[in-house]
Amino acid sequence: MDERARSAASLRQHLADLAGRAGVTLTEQELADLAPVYRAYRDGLERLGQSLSLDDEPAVIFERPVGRQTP
Amino acid sequence: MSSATLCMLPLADLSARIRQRSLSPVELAEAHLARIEQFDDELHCYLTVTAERARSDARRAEEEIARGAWRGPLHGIPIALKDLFDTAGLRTTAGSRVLRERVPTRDAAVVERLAAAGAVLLGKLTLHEFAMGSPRLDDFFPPARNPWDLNRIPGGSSSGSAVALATGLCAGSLGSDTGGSIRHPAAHCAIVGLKPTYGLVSRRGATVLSWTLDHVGPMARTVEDAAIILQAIAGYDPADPASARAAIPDYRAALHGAISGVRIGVPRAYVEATPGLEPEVLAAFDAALEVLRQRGAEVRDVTLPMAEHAEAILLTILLSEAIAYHAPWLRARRHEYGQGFSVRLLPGLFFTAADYVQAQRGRRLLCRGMEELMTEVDLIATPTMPRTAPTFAEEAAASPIPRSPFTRLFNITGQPSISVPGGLGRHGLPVGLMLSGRAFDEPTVLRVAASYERATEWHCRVPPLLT
Repeated sequence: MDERARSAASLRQHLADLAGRAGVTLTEQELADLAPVYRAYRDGLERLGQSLSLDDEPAVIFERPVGRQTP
Repeated sequence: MSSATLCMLPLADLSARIRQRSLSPVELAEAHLARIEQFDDELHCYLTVTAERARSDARRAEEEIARGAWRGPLHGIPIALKDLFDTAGLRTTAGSRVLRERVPTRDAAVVERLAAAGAVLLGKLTLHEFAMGSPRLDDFFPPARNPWDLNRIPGGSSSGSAVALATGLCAGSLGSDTGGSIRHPAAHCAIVGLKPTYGLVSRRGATVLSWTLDHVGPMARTVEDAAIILQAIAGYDPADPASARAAIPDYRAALHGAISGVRIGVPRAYVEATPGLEPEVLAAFDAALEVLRQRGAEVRDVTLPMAEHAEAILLTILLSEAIAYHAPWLRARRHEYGQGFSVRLLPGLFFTAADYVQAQRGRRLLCRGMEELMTEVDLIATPTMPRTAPTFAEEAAASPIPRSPFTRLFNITGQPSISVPGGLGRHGLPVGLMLSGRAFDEPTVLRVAASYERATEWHCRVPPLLT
């Protein structure tokens, strides 16, 4: 098994573990199909993380126009 | 007047005739039921037709109006509901085999409000599975077809609502919108779809996709019709934890003012850099902006805050919340989900708690940036969708990542956002113009949309199927 195949297998195992936490078992085909989607999502989150500073707090659920109760 | 002409009239026009007693609600309901019978085998926009309920509602409306007890502009009007709004004693499936036999015991809040307004229920409408699936021709419930080209998707997830309105199979409808599900089909079918401010319309009794992104709103053939429906469904509901105690203005009265001096921001760089943007969509958008300029609006370029991160923010929040909702069924009944929904939902299994918090941090930054921007402009204009409706085959082959670069921003921030017919693009298919305003400023959104509608005739075009 070359490095690339080992890396792909490792990623699939990681995804299977993550799904397993929710009690969901994914097939090998599903894991293979979802791996590139996962990478794209991780890249997006990585870029988002780089744009945040230590002072940035999370939005509170229902807080938006939302939590103010009046317009 | 022919039955076909009658069924394509604006809701406001039908309402005026009913009030004057020149049109019978019973006659109107029968005309719609006959039209559903005629067209729905091809269109698949109804999951359930409630013919007897419609006749009963219509008879009651007729009797009440005859004795002078007119309830308002929805009295006697035939409407249909996306099949994720609970209807007591009536199957509510969310478009999924998982819920194919579910019969709620209580109406959703918006269903209660429409019934109180005297609306006539024609039935429950097709949607993408659980308001997020990608439609497939082999779905458990056959997907609705776009009446502008039956080989194409009508957009979604409120697909049946848009198709039924575009073809005169109902006079008004409701949709839900988590990333664009009211506005996408509105754009693809040349109707009007309004996602109101988060908290303005109760979500109680609407099947959840994502608690903090879900919105409920009107779908209609004209802006005035959307305003009439919004008037009936807006308002505080203590049973919805996100419901706001906002004052409810007269939305219909807001339609008629001038738009001189209204400041409209155009995120031109963002729009033009959108992957897959069709040149015909951009041309229609520019033509729409010119109409708004001629009506007196001040149109200027703006830069959207954090727009490059909107997809990561929305997907992380939406899918994390959706997984929380679906986890029990995913464990026990996954084989009952359709492929189009599964491929979109399953990546949500891979997000961590830290990812969710990170997305909420980004959301706060985006909301703050948008609040600042909205001190400089009154509205933001974009195309609703970067492209016209794809075929079912193209949709099935596409990446499962939702393609909603313009609509999703306003689910994240909760701002009101409307799609109105804004021209024709590739293959003669409809294109939508989207206008988004400040939180709770639906009056300005509706006023400018109505002004654009009065200056154009795109909302009068009917699908080739009907000509």
